[in-house]
Amino acid sequence: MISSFPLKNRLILFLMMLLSTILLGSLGYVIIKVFVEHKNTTFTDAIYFSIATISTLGHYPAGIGLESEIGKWFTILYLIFGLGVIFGGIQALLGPWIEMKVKSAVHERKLPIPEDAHIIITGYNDIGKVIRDELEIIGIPFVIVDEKPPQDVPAVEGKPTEMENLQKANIERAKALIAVGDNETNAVTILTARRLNGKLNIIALAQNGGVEDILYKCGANKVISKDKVISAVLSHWIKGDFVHHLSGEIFKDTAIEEYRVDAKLNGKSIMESRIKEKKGTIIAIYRGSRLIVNPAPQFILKEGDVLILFKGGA
Amino acid sequence: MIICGYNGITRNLRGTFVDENVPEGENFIRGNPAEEKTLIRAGIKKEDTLIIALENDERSIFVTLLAKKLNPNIKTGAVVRKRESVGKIYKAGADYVVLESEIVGKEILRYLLAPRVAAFMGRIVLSEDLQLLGLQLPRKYVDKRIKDTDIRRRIGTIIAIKRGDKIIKNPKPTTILQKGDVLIFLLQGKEINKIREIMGQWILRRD
Repeated sequence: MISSFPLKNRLILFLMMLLSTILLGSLGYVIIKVFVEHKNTTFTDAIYFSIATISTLGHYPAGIGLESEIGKWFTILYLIFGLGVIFGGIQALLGPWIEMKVKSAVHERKLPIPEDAHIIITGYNDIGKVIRDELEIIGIPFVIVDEKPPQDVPAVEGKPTEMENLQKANIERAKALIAVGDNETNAVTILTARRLNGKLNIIALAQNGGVEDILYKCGANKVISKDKVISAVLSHWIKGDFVHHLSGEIFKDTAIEEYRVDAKLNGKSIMESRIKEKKGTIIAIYRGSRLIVNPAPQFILKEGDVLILFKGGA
Repeated sequence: MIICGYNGITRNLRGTFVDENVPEGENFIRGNPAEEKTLIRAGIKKEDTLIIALENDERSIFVTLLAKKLNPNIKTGAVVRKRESVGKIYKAGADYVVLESEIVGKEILRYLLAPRVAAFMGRIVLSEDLQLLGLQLPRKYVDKRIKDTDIRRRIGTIIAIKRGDKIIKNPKPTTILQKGDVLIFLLQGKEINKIREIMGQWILRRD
C-alpha cells in the first residue's frame, strides 16, 4: 500500500511535516524563552534554533540556546523528534525515487519489434513461455502480443484480437502466428490476423475438444488440440509401446528431421545418394501430400521430395 | 486401470473413472479421489495402473501419495500444470509425469519448425495409421549382419534395435544381430497385416 503512494504526494507530505516540525519547535522555543527563562527573543532566533536542532548542527551562538533545565530537556526531545521526521521522510522518498529511476531505465531499453519473417505469439501463458524459451534458444525473431507481456522480450501490450495491436507487431510481414490464448481470444485473433495477412502461417491451440473446427474455419492452418495431444502421450505410456520408448526423442524433435531433396540429388536412388551415411536413415518420404513409408534402396529421389530422417544412434 | 478425473484428456481412455462430478455407474465412481475410501472402492489394491489428471496439481500430488501408500506397486502416470509440480509428483512416487504446457508447446513448435515431421509424427502418435512395431529376431538371422539378411526387403528399414534395456538407434548395415534382439520398424497399417500373415509369430506382444 505504501509503495503505491505517488512520489509527488510523498514529497508534499514530507515538506508539510518538516514545516510543521519547525513551527512546532519555534513555538516551544518562544514559550520557554519568554515564560521560563524570561528573556527576549525574535522570530528569526526561534526558526534558527529549530533548524539548527533538527539538522543536528549541534552548535548555538550565544544567547540562542536554551539554558534552563526545561529548555535543555526540550532541546533533547525536539532533536530526537526532528531526526525521526527527517530520516523517516528521506527513507520514504528515496525508495520510490530509485524504483522510478530503475523502471524508466528498463522502459527505455524496450526491445524493438522485429520487422519481417518473424513469429507472433499471442497470449502469454505457460505454453507461450515454452515456445518463447525455445525460439530464444534457436534465435528466431518473435514478438509477444498480450495484455500483460513480459518486459524482457519484444512485445506489444494490448489485446491480440485488435487490429491495431497486430499491426504494431508488423503482422503484414510476419511469417507465422501462434495463438495460445483461450478459445475465444484465439478465434477472434485468427480472424483478425487472416484479414491482415492472407499468407500467414497460423498455428492455433484448442484448449479443449470441439473447437478445432471453429478455429480452422476462422483461418488457422493448423490447430493443435491440447486434450488430444496429452491424451495420446498418456495412452502410449499406458500401452507401453515403442512410440513411448522413443518418445523422449520424439518430443525433443532432435532425432527426427526433415530434409528437402535439391537439384543435386534429383534422379538419384536412395542408395546412390548416400544420405543414410551422411544424414540419417530415411524412414519415409513425402512426395507432395503422398507419404511413402520404408522406401526401397532403389527408390529414385525427385527434387522437392521431403525426406523424413531418423538421426543419431550408432 | 483407475483414472482420477473425467475430462477431455481422459475421456477416451478405458478404465474405472473416479470423479466428484460424474454419476455413479458402471466404470464410474462418484467421489473425491483424494479420500482413501474412494480409492479403495475403485479397487486400487488390485489394479495395476493409475492415471491422475485432476484440475489441481496439489490434489494430484496428494492422490499419488495416497495411492502409493495403498498399493506401492501401482504404475502411476500423472498430468500436471505447473512446472514445479513435476519434481514433487515424481518424489511422491509417480512413474510417469506429463507437463501440459511442455508437451503442447513442443508440439506447436514442431508444426512451426518442421511441419512435415510434425504431420508425420501426428500419424504415429495421434492417428496410429503408422506404427512403430517391435519384432523378435527369428533364429535364422542370429549372428548375421543386417546387410546380409533379407529383412529390409521383406519388412522394411530397421530404425532401432532393442537389446536388453538398451536401444540402438539407426543400426549400421554391418551391425551383427544377436539372440533376443527386438527389431523396431516403422510400418503402415496395411503392411502390418501383411507381415502378420507371413510371420505372425514374430510380432511382439505388448506387455
